Amino acid sequence: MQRGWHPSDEELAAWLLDGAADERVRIHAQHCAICQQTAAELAAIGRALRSLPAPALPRSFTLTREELARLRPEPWYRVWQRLFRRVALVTATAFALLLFAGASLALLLPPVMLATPTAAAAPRMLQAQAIASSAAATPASGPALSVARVATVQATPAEATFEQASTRPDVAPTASVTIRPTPLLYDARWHLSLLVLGLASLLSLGLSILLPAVARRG
Amino acid sequence: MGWAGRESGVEHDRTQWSDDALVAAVVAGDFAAFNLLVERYQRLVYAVTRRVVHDAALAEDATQEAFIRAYRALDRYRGGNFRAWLLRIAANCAIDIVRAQRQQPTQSLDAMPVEPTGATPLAETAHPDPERVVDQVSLHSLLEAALAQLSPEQRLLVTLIDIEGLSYEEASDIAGIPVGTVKSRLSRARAALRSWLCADPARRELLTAYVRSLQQKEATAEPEQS
Repeated sequence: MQRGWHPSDEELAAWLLDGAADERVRIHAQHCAICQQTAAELAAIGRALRSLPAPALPRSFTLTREELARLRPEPWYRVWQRLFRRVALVTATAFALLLFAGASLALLLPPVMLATPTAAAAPRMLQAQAIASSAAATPASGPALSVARVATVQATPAEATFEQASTRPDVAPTASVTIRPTPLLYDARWHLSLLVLGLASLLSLGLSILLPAVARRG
Repeated sequence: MGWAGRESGVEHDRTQWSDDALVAAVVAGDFAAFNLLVERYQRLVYAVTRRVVHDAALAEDATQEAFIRAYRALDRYRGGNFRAWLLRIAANCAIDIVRAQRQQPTQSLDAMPVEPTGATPLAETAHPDPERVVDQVSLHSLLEAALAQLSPEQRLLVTLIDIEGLSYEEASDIAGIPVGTVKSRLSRARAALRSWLCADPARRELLTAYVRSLQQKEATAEPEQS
């Protein structure tokens, strides 16, 4: 070993740090009083640093609600997610209302009595069918009329009754037909509406759930 | 229990959440959860930035900037060690501020007065009387002054490892350098601290007195153990 040689402070610090420094540093430090003093000072600096008090926090660094919202604008998918949620809610509500209204009207609507003048010479069955057809073709505006309109007219001989409105020969007899409205369950447009609303509701709900995951993965 | 009570109960529960759970809550849209992370780490982040920039006002700016940057970048956090991730952002903020200060010649870091204790560095006293200095200036304030002599990168490592007690691996993660470089840079920093402390007789006297006191403590502790 070179006479008068001493490791540098950095080498001694590295030796103190993990003890895996240069072998000659380790051997020298064990026998050199000067280097031992230097090592002791380096170790003391380390200990003193550990005992330094933490600086006092000048204030809280929490962010206000407004700052949080401003600094982190909503991701694009969140706008769409909100839209899909609303669509899902609206369509599901419409679906439920349509189902409830249709079923209620079908059950509660009273039978409709229709009276139509008939030709005296026409056969009874033809008259009943004509009445049934005219009842089915009557324009409707509203749920109740819709129910009447979509009801299948039971123009069977058993239900169609003919009454003589007048005994006079110059007055034609009047036909009276009892039409019982059948439930909406047999109406194609009602079915279609329910199907569209139900699918829209499910699709919107599914998209609102899947969109964030897909966006994050992307 | 009222709504306020329930809400505070929820907040209390969330303080027990892990960092990653809180980050997930923020990313999912619960922005208020970020403030729980701020409360958890603001002391550490401020302590690190304070020692790196060596100025209270700048450290405040660096800390606030670090939390804002972290908040904006939370989507890019991939889990693991949130503390290291946050401190890496804070360290970058602090070093950016130091560099910006250096580019302004009127306010260079070297020219800045040493804080935080208000003690005058021993070399700058008009008549450095060692006995008087030892009485007046604590070793802590001397060390704060010594830290100011290091480069920001060295200060960062000394702060993380020697002062805050983080592992070499975590410090390596924060500083973005290999563990070997962390150790060599830390050795250089400690050597530089000693060199600065020994450059002045008064400072050296204080250090020697501290070493002696430590040795005496160890000497008294050894017989008790035996």
